[in-house]
Amino acid sequence: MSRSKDLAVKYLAAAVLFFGVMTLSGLMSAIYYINPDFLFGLLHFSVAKMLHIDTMIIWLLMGFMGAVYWFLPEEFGREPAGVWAAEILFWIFVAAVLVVAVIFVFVQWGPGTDTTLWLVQQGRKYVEAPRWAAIGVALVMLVFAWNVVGTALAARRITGVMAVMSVNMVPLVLLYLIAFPKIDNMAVDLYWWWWLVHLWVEATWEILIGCIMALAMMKLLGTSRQIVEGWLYIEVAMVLGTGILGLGHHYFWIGTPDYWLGIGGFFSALEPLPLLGMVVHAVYDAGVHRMRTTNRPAFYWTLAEAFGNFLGGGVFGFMITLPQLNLFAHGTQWTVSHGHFAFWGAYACGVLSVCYIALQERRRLATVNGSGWVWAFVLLNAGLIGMVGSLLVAGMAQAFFERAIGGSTLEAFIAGQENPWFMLGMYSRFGFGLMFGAGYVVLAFNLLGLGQREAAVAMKPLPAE
Amino acid sequence: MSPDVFLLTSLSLGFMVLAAGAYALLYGAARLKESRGLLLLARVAYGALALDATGLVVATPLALAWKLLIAASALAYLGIPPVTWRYLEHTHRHGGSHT
Repeated sequence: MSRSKDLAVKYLAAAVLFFGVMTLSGLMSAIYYINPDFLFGLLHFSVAKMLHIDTMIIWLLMGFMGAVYWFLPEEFGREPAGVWAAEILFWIFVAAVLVVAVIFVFVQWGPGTDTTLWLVQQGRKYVEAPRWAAIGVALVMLVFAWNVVGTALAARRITGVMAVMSVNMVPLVLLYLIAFPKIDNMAVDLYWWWWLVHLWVEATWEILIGCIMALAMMKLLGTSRQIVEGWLYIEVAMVLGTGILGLGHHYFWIGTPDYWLGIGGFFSALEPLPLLGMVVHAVYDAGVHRMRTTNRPAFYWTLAEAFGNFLGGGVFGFMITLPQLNLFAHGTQWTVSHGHFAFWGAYACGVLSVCYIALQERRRLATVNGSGWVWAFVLLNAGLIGMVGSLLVAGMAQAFFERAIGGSTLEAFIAGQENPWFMLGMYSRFGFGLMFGAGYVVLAFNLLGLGQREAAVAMKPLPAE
Repeated sequence: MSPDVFLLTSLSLGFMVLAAGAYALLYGAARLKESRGLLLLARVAYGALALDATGLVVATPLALAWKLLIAASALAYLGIPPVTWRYLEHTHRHGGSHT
């Protein structure tokens, strides 16, 4: 096993661990909505929510990095440039995330001073990590980019997938730098902050997962490079064409000029189009292979990715993206519902697929199947669909009673929070959250025990790399 | 926009994309299985999409620009599955098939 693949397995393991932290803090956040006294005086809702959101970013990022480190040696036929630096930074990265989590739980906040900014938190959603940790993340991203681009340069060859990934490293690193400026004007601050959040998530991450899934499809289904690369170029063009200016849908109602309403609405409305193409592609691949593969969990998670992305990003997003409607739905649980579904479909399912691909080779399994992954797959997906359905009901109640009828007054806000439909959604979300949590536990045990408990046939030893 | 119309419009937009997904799924399945029945169901799904889009254009208070966008999207949804399918068949024929 190469050093890069060893590192990949460590990153994927860390990703699954932080996926668990995200799930737990998400469940805790859900409890506050049905029992506002939960952990009163000990842990504020905002801290639980911060942990939930930040670990989501971290586990997906670690999952992507694990996937890239897994495929890099196969793409270039050599160890990544600077793999030693990546190995050291992995431990620093994990330690930093744990230290930040401890700070969030036990210190939580401080006065609006530079000391707080550097040692406690920066106070900007998604990038709350204190400045020292943010510098660490920037360093990790820089070394990650060096690993990818430097390996291509050292190998003196490039594939289409790796060319796309290498170019994507530039915005991936540069956009994160927006986490640093301290801007006093809130509208200006949000304007640039969305570059980081949206353009990372709906542009650079989309391309990164597109590249990862292209490599996964070659591995999983033996699809030819020419086919996956042709499809990748089309996907990248369409995602960037709709996704970059789709940024505008985050500029609604934050003090930006009116023209963003038109730009954001128009390009966001186009975003479901490439997702529909992905659905057709998923049906084609499933049909051509008649659902036969040596790694069923990886294949099913890949299918879940295509459908989840379409439903979460396309269907749930289109409901609230036109400005005339977004005026009422913006920032309600309706948005939360869309966010949960889209992140799950677009990214989480892909990372889980790669986990199974890596473990199949790592543990030398001829086939991966059994009942454990099926339980995990069903519980996680049913739990997620139940959660987003519940949040949809709660969000509709908020948008309808609080915004459209109540006119967004404080009184209307309180009435909206106490509305029976809203509360039903919150209780139901917690129930399905428990189901999702159970799915996570089964997934973790399945990944740990894969090859030991599953009916797998040992493969011949792979040649040393 | 009244509260009732707001909710109905949002749901109709979601239904439109959902119907597009059903159309794509059924179209793909119909081509795979060479089934006329599934192709008919795909057409029914697209019919539901077209009906929904017509309702959005005719009966909602959305601005004219958004109505035009919805109409154009409905037409694009009609073309995406067959075009994508043809492209996939073409690349699999000429780009080397699965190993």
